[in-house]
Formats: sequence, C-alpha cells, structure tokens
Amino acid sequence: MSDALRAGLRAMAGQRRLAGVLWLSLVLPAGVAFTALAPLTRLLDSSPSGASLVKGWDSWALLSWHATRTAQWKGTLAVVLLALLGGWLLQLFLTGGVLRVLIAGDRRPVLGRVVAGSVALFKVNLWATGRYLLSLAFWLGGVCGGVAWLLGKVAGASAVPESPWIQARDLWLLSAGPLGFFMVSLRFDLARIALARGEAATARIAYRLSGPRIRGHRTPLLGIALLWSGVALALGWAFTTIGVSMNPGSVGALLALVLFRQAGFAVQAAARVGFWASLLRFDEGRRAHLASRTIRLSDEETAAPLHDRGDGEGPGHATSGPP
Amino acid sequence: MQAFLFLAFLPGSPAFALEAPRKVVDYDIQVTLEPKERLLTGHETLRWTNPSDLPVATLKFHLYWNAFRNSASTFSQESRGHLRGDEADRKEGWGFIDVTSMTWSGADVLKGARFESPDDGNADDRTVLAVPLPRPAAPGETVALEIAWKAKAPKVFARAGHVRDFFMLGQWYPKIAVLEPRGMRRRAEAGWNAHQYHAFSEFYADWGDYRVAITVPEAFVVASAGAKVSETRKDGRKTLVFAQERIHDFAWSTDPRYVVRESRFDPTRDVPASELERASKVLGLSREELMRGLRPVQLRFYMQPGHESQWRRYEEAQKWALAWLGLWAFPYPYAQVSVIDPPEDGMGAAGMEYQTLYTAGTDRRLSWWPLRGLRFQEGVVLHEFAHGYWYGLLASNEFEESWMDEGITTFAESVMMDRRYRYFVELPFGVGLADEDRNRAEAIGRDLDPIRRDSWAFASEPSYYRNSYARPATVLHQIRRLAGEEAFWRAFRSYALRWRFDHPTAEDFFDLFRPLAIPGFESLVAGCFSGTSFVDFRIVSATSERQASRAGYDDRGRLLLPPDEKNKRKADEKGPFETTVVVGRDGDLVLPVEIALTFENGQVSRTRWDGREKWIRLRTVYASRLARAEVDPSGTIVLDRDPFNNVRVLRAKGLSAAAKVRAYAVHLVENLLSLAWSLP
Ligand SMILES: [Zn+2]
Repeated sequence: MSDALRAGLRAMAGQRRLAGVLWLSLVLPAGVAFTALAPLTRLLDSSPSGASLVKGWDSWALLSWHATRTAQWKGTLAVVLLALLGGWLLQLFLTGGVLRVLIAGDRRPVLGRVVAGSVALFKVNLWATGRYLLSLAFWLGGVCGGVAWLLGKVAGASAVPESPWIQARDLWLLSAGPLGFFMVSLRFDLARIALARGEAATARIAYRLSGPRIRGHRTPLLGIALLWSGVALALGWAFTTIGVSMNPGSVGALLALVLFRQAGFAVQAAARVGFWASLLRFDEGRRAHLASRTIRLSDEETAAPLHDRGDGEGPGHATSGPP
Repeated sequence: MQAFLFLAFLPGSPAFALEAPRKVVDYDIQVTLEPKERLLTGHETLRWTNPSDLPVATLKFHLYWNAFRNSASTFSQESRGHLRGDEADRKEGWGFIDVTSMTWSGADVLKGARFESPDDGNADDRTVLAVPLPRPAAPGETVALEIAWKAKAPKVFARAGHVRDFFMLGQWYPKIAVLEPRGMRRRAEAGWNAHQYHAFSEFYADWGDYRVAITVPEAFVVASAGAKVSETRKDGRKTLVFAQERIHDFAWSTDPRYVVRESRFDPTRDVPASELERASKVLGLSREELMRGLRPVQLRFYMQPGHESQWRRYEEAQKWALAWLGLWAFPYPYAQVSVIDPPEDGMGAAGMEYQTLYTAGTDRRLSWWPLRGLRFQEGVVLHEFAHGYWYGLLASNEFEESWMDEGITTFAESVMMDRRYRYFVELPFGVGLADEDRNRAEAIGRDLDPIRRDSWAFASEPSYYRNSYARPATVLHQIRRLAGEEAFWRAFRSYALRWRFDHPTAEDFFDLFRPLAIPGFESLVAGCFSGTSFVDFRIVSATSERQASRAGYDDRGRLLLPPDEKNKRKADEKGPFETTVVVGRDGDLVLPVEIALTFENGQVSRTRWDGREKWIRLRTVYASRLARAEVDPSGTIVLDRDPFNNVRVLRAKGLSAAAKVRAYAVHLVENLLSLAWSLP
C-alpha cells in the first residue's frame, strides 16, 4: 500500500501535463456555462441587489430572483445541471486516455494522446460503465436497500424510531451504503485499468480480470481510495474556503479569485492523477502476483489460456499471457 | 362580579388594558386515558357566566374531535385527508367525541341538543352542538353544567391524536363557544360566535380557570398546560392534577417514552444586554422599566428518545423568545412553558400552539452537518411560542381573522429569527436565507384573496397560507418601514398591552397605528387587508443628453444653426446635460417612495415621491450625465412586486454583479465536478 501511495505522490508531483488535461475537462464545461449564463444573469446588474451582491451574499437577491424571474432562474439551474452532466460525461470519457498515458509514461503531446486513448477505449469503457451502473443498482439498490427494507419490515410499521431494528437499519445504510459504493467503484476502476492496459478486449473480460485482483486485498485497496479521498476533500475544502473569503469587490479581485480557484482545481486534478497512479501500482502488484501463481499452475498442468479470448477489435484486442 | 362584567361590556366603555381577563368560564375536568383503546372518558363541571346584556336560551359547544369522525365532516371535506404534509389514516385512524350526559341543576339538557353547521350548512358535521336550556340564563347568571363524555383519539395527522402510545390532546373536551356581548369585537348585538372545526382554523374561546385531573397508566409521562398540583398512584395508574388560571384553552400530551429536560428562564441572565439596550432606545423606556415585569419561567422539554441532544437548541430559542416578547410586547405572565417534542412518525402533531404548552418538532438527522444549519427547530419554537401571545394572550378569532394569529406570529418569528440567528436556513460558506426575505418572496406574488377573510373561504390552500402567514407578516414589515422603528414598535407594544387578556379585532389593531399618520397606511389597510392590491414601482425611461443648443431664429432675427457633426461630438462630451427620468407605479397601493439619480461625477440627487399619481417625470439640467436611476434605493417598499425593474443603469461602473454571480456559479460547477475526484 505504501508503495502504491509513493507512486501516486510521485505522479501527482510529476505528471503535470496530465493534470492539466484533467483540469481542462473542468474548465471546458465551466467555460460553456460561463458563456451561457451571461444572458440569464444580466438582470442582476440592473437589480436593486446588484450592489449588495458585489459586496457579498444577499439572501433577498436570491429569493427575489427565484420569485420574480422564474424563467431566468430555471434557465440558470438548467445551465448548471447541464454543465455538471457534460463535465461528468467528459471525465468518464477521458479516464481511459488518462490511464493509457499514465501506463505509457508522460510523452508528448499529452492532450492528443489522452484524447486518442479515450477515443480508442470509448466503446469498451461505455460497456464497462453500463456494467458499473448495473452493479451499483444491484449492490446499493438491491443488497444494501434490500437489507434495509427487510430490517424495516422486521421492525414493523409501528416501530418507534429508536427501536434496535430501526437503529440497525440506519447504521446499515450509513455503513454499507458508502462501503458498497466504494467497492463497486473500485472494481470498475480496475476493470478500466485492465482495458487501458489492453489486457482485456471487452468490459466483461476486464471485469472478470479485476475480480481476483481485488479478492483478498480489499483493505489495502480501500485504504488507497480513502486516503486519496481525504486528500481530495481537504484540497477542495481549503481552496473553496479561501476562495469564499476572498469575496472580490472589483474586476481585478474577481480575476484574482478566478485564477486562484483554477490553480486549486489544477492541484486537485494532480491529486486525481496521483490516485490513478496509486491504483495502477496496486493493480500491477496484484497482476504480477496472480501471474506468478498462474505460471506455476500452468507449468504443472497444461498451458491453459489465461483469459477468455476476447472477440473485440482494436487496441483492446489482446489475450496476452503473463509477461 | 356580575355587575362588573355587565359594565365592562357596555358599548362605549373606555378602552383600558387588562391585568387579568374577564373570567367567563371555569372548567373542572377529570379524564382517564385508556391508551390501548385510544379512549378518553371524561367528566367536567363547567361554570359559564352569561357575559351579555341579554338572556341566553341556548348554549353552544365545540366538539372538535368529531372533525375526525368520518369522511363527511367539514374538516375531512376541506382537508381531503391531507394537512401540512401529513396524511390521514383513512382505515383505522378515525376518532370522535360523544357527550353522554349534560345536566343543569340535575335537569337533563341534552335531550333537545342538536348539531349545527353555521359556516357551511354541512348536515354531517358534528363539531358544533347547540344545547337549549330549560330556561334562559339571565345576564350575569352563572350556569353550572355537569358534562360527561367519551372520546376516541384519531391517528394523528392534523394536530391532535395519537401514534403508537404518543398522545397529543388538543381540543379534546367539550368546550363552550364564545358568547360575544354587545360591543365586544365591535358587535352591535350580543350573540354566539361558534364555528365548526376547519382544516385551517380551530381557535377562539373564552377566558377562565382550569383544573384538570388526568389519569393514565403509571408508565406514561404527562406533559400538560398549567402547573402540577398533585399526583396520586393507585392500581397501576396515576392521577395528575394540573391547574392554570387566566387561559382560554387547555392541552396535554402523554407518552411513556418522553425524556424530560428542565430549565429555567432567568431574566437577569437570559435577556441579552444588546436587546435590552435596543428596546430601551426604540421604545423610549428605561431598562429598569422594561425589566420590571420579567419573571423567571420554568421550562420543561418533553423530548423523544434520540432527540435528547437537540433540547438545548429548543431551550436557547425558547429563552430568546421569552426575552424578545417580554421586551417588545409584555412580560410572559405564566409561571411555566412546556415544550412537546413529537415522534418522527407523529409529525402531524408538530408545530402547534396551545396555552403554556406547545408542540415543536425535529428529526434526528437535523443535528447532523450540514443539516444543522436548517433552523427548523428554532423556527418552530419561535413561531409556536409567539403564538402564545397572538393567539394565547391576545385571544383573537382565528376563524374570522387568521392573520391576527398566524400573521402577527409569523412577523414576530421573522424578527426574532433574523435578529438572533441571521438566517432561517444557513448553508456552509456564508450562504443563508433570512426569514423576513422568505416571507417577502412569498408575499409579492399574485393574489386572489384579501388578508381578511374567513379561514375556510379562501380560494385555495396556498391562498389561505399566503394571506394568513407571509403576506400579513410582510405588510407589517412594510408598515414598520414606512412608520420608522420608534413609531412602529411603540404602537406594536401598545397593541399588545392594550389587548392582552382580551379579544381584539383587526380594527383594534389598526386604530393603534392610525394616530401615527403613517404614509400609505390607509392604502395598505384597504388594499391588502380588505383587497388584493399590489404595488410595482419601475423606471419607465431614463435619458441623459447634452442640452441641445438653440437652433432657428433668435430674438434679433439671426438664424442659429445646429453644430456640425464634428463639433457636435465634441460638445456632447461637455454638457450641460438634460436628464429625464420617468418613474411609474403599477398596482393600486399608494405608497411614498424615494427616487435616486446618480450622475457620472458621483453626485446623487434624491427625490421623494408621494406615489399618488401613476407616474412622475423628473427633469434636470446638470453638469454631469446620468449614470443610474433607481426607485426605492433603500429597499423600503418590501411589497414591491417586481424589484428587477427598479433600476436603470446608463453607465456601469465597477464590478458587475452578474459577472460575479456567473463566476461563482461556474466555481460551483467545478467544485461539484472535482468532488467526483474525491471518489473512486
Ligand atoms: Zn402558526
């Protein structure tokens, strides 16, 4: 685990161009939103709350906007939500390319190679995402929600809110929910790594490969993920808090805030690169371990194919055995 | 006593503030609760004194649990089984109250009794019972009735009832209606004021003393109005006796699971010095005068298990409300307050006012970050305790003038909330929503109803809520802004003092503000309380151009030519400039307003417009060009329906608010997207 973390930190400090690409995936939807919001927010400049908004937060500015300019308000919300959706999809798309570049090393042009890698992996990653959403639905909706529902049933309709069954249900939801989410997501991540490495040609194979790599090593894997979560949250919190306290009152100050926030997002992007690098190192270690075991096995028995033969095409087409 | 009563209600008798109410009723009640069967068995001795100058042949009673009797009751019809976000149990959840006997001096008076539906003629409603007397009760005569009844608690969804073994008992006993003497609430003739139980109103009663003996299984914890006088135990049951003078309503609650927390309001400690200072300055009273009547009050919080940690938040808000109302209205006259915390599956009982007792309401999750910033607990305490004044101590008629209860309460709540906590909803990073703003945003919408309307006669449920809560509260803020703080709060306080222990009407309220000659006051009374008027000030046009040099023949007959293009552009930059601004008023509320013209050189010219005409044109010739025209720059007109047309910017200076908001919106997008980076 410490080896993986070291690799992550090294990548966080070293892979600046890659971080830049990730940061761009934030800036792109943000920029589109900034432009789209111009006609929707113009009314604030000729509103009585304009001056107080320049000074800081104004509860009436928000409430009166919501109450009397509903169309612009809903439009603003829609732009924000669409930017979020677009940004999320963009990141999902770019993850394949980012992993490819991380595996191959930081060779230029990074942006071009990330995009090319993402395009190449687009289809298989889409399948993997579908599988991911299905397993999320199964583990969170089915298992986690199902057990909670059962506990509620056992407690009965007239149970007091503090009955042990209800308490157990709440505790279960609070613990199994996040845990399930993390584990399902990490499996998805390892599957995508397998796809990026070219080990698997289809999402199905990639998922099949990632299973044994997690098995027995859930704790260190979760540890890596939680540590990077902590780093990312701390960074986000710090930059947001400082940014909010800047509260610009002039054009220059607003520019300074924008620059500061973007610098913060770039650092957060670097931390994300670090997370992926850690995960790659973990995956490498597990792969090597499993391969040595398989070699020993196959030495004794016949040289059975390691993996199902993928029937996909393109760069994912590989049934490579151990190196 | 009788002569006093008689004299006091003579029309034209001078208005004076009461130290104690005119007592009309006395209740001595014994009640037993069988929790398993949800059954109440009760007996009451009711002593009622005819307060009018006429003989009274019929008595009228409220049997309000019959609202829950079946789907045909007026309450069921009006609410359709939904109220305040809760839903009725239409299978097992019904309840009722049946009077089993009623005698006067040994004579059965129940024989001729019949149900009446004065509000809607619903023959199936059993919430008002008319009982003819064998002989009329003379003016001033006291009628002593012995009444026995049985009642079944409904599944709680609308204020009263039970869930599991939690019971909230409001409107649970046969309660005599109000016989209004001539002169009271400006009545020309004496008569009953008895309304059915409605979805949106239930309170109007006469003053008196209560003594209530409650018998429950021993394990049950009882929370009750009044002070506990005695407690006896026998055969696994206990009987608790509570007594309270000078009230007009009595509620109680019981639950074996209550966790009781006690505290004490100590004026010397719990009245913030800054608030005392402010009240002293604004009201023109010395601090000693203000503190004089404030007494310690015993506070009891009946918490649900799992909510214990939240009682401190209730406590803090409760102490603040006692301090604020004590200073700005008058000192709380009772010795105790009981706060009921209903269970999370019984929230239909939450947020209800009774006398010396009210129900609050919270959820375990509200103590978690960042939900902690949603101040529902504080809001409900401030609101319900404020009711203790505007429904409790100034016993207005909620059926006919719901704004005098809910509206003034919402107004007081917003002042208390924003002053103490700043925001009703507070989110991380300094973002929050003020209570006054929240009401204001609701109040400036379109209206179908005036504020003054029978509570069951509003066009819709939202219209009732708007016109009983947010709109009157905002109109009061409007009056405050127009009158100025000193004038407003002094009148507000004199209303509270004059009408405590009494039954005020809207006109009584207005009469205390009329001598202040507040500009626009009569327009607000006619337009908002009795009408659906609104106001929208707006800048219709604003131009500022170099004053045109004269062209044509001058006095000596010389022809003056306009400057050519090149010279014109040069001259355009020099001035003087002729500025013309037209300000319009939409809507029929006539309110005075200020207009501010800001010129490019920074000079501001302010004009006060009485707002009588529908528009005004301001014209000025000045060395500098107009940069910005604004109507109501200080935000005095809180009822302005559309604040976004109040400003016209000709030349912008400094940072644009829109740019700032856009930057923040974009940072929010980036923040949320980068939040995904903290997940695998
Ligand atoms: Zn209320």
